[in-house]
Amino acid sequence: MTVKKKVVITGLGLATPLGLDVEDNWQKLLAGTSGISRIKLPDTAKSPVQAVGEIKESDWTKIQKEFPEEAGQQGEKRTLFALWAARSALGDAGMLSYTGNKDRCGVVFAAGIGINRPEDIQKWISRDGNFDLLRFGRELKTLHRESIARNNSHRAASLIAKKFELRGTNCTITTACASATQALGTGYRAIQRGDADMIVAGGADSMINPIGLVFFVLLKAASVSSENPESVCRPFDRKRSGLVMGEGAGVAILEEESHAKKRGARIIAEVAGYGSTMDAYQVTAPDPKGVGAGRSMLSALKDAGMGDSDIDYINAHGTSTRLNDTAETVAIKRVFKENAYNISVSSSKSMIGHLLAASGGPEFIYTALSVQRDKVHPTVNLTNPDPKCDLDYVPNKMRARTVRAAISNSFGFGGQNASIVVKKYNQDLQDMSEKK
Amino acid sequence: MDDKVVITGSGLVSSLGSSASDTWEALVSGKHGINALEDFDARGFDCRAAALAQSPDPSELGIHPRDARTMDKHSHMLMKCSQDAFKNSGLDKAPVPAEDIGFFAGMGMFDCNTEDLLTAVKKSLDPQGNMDYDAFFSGAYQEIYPLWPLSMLNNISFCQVAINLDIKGENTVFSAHADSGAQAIAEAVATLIDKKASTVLAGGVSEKVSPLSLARAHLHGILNTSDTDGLAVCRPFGADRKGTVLGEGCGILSLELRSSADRRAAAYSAMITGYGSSCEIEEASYTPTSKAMSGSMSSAIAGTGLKPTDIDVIIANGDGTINSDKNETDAINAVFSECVDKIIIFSSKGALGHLLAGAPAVDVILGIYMLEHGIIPATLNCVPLDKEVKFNVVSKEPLKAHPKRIMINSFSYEGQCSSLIIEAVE
Repeated sequence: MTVKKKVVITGLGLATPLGLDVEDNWQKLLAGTSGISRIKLPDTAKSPVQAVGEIKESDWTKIQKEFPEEAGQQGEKRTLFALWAARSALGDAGMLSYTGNKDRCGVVFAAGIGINRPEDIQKWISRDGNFDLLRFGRELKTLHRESIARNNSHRAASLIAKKFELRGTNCTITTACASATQALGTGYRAIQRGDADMIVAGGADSMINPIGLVFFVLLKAASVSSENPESVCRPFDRKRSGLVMGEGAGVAILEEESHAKKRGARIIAEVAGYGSTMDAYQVTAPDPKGVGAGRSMLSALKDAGMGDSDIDYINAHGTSTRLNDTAETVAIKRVFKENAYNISVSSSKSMIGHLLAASGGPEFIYTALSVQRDKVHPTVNLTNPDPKCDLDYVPNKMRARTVRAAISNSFGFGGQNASIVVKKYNQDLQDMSEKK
Repeated sequence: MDDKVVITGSGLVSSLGSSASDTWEALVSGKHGINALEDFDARGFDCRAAALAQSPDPSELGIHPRDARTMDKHSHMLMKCSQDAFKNSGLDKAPVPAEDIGFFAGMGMFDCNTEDLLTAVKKSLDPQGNMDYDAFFSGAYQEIYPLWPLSMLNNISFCQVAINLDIKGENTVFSAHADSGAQAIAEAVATLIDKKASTVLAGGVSEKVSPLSLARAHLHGILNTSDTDGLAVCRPFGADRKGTVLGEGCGILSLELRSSADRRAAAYSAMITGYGSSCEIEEASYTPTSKAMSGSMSSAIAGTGLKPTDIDVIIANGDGTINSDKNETDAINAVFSECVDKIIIFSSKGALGHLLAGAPAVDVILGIYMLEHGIIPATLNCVPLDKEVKFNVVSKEPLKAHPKRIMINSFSYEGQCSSLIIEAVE
């Protein structure tokens, strides 16, 4: 079997409720700043969901101005978030002026469900109260550009490829909340196998729209608490009441080590392992014993050649739902045994909300920063400890500690789990081992 | 020698039958599955034909009626094909731990049925007939069936199959067009070679043909909208081609390393030996460039250590659209220039319509039949051929041949191109 290539992270790009800049996001996270607030989307006064993590209005305006062509033609939010984050990450990696072989540069991107717009039905209701198919067929060219019929899940990956002329492997992953971590893992594997030199990997999503707002309410997974919006998302807290939606994108540039070194790129950290599993339990609930979630972490550890004492930080899926947070805790304890209590575990969702299909994108970036900088952001709003959640969740205050390696977890609705391991990249050590 | 990935079982549903053998026999006898749309009122659409599959009966698949309510036709097709692939590869009797079974699929764009939201929308209308969101949020939304969101998450039917067959290993879902089904197969092959799973189900399923999926294809400008008085026809590589026709279907393969299949004495006749991909969109035409198509074919060939002359048959993307077929013609002419008069081309879309994410696995399964039977079915409606076509498109009658290697092309309408190579096992 051929030797697997080493995969490093050379660029990061974000669009989250905390802003459009990676450094700014990181500082706000360390300070425990929440990007969650009362919903500002028009016509939502009566929405059962009031606490959301929206991209700031001024940031959204900025993104639209940066991509005027795409904003005009297909101004769907998630697509523009994707373009913003991809360009930021490519810029961060020094890849915008890349003159190498772009046939070996690809995109692996996560997508959520398209937008179902009530207006797309309302517009064609006939006098007798049915959906008028005859008229719909004749008038379909007037369908709104954000309609699911116009917006393929492919869109973001395709536009990124087109805009930055990346002609290599190009795919879109749709596994609900596990999507972005699976996209990162799939991109990592493609480079490892030698199928690409560089992959733009991550995800973008937004369901902060009328159907999206009731989507997780119908499934009884969303928090409908409306007091103090910034304190509604409280992962691992006894008073947690469900997920809080966020929106945005997170993109990392994954690159084959020698390729990165050859072009003198700054290396942020190394991707060390990846694993995915399925619960095969229930499509509406995670396995309360967290068996699949545990196997996902274990499989990523094994892939990284690591054991249960090698991980210092876990960026948890931590959705603030009753079921996930206890199941994830049980899973961590099963995998890491007594070491579980030495690991810092925190949930980025406590501050940016749940970015759904994209959630693994920003969370992977924060994980990489923890490894690079030996700092761990807190889980905010954790003021009422849940006896069933007894790990170190870094409550409310950031922690400075050595982070040799970390895991980012994403567990998708339906029962798909994914974990990815990031470890420190030490230039000196690498050079020494090469000389040997 | 490197261990190869062999195909030990398959499941196929198409407009020509609910099994691989039914579909194959119908294809060889020159039948097609394209008919006038009657499932819904399609009179307003400019293309009113599609190749609809018969929906498998959920009760026969052991699906609980409660689950069936959130499962649409694509879920039933995926369930049936997965169960069939599982059974005819003997996995139902083989002691493979659930954790060692992987699952990768290409899944289409799953649309809502308008009636699922209709009552909620109607109860939200103001006296002028416009959406009143206060009414919607105050209670009208509760008219939506609480589990309706599951039908919109396109990984749910995938997870339902995992539960049904107890599959717990490596997995992912690719989306949304034909390339996704090929990516799923390629990822499955790599997963087996990496020994991350000991057996994997892989393939893809099309979306149901519905008012919204038909609208999407119309808006992409890919449909044959010219035959408004008669039945739309898909003419792969035809001089008179005017667009594609949508089809429904699913294909799932059961894959395994040859050594592992031999250990449990599982039968197989073909292996998957190559994969290549590339991405570049041609502005304004919703078609990959011929350069991207050439790139995917060339990289599949080179990555397998082969030469173009080693490929005997191409199951082309050949979707009957003006631009995609033109670019594919140019790409095949160029990549296979030294053997272009010898290379045999088949497209299933003249008979089955475009199965999108379902197409690659279905074409792989048809390719296995070609390797086994030495017959290449005719590509329906391709005559007269486009004058640029220099290769041998099988038309009119099935062709007797003895292919050893077949390439399967799958292209999206967003620039993605994938090429797989399958090979007969001696």
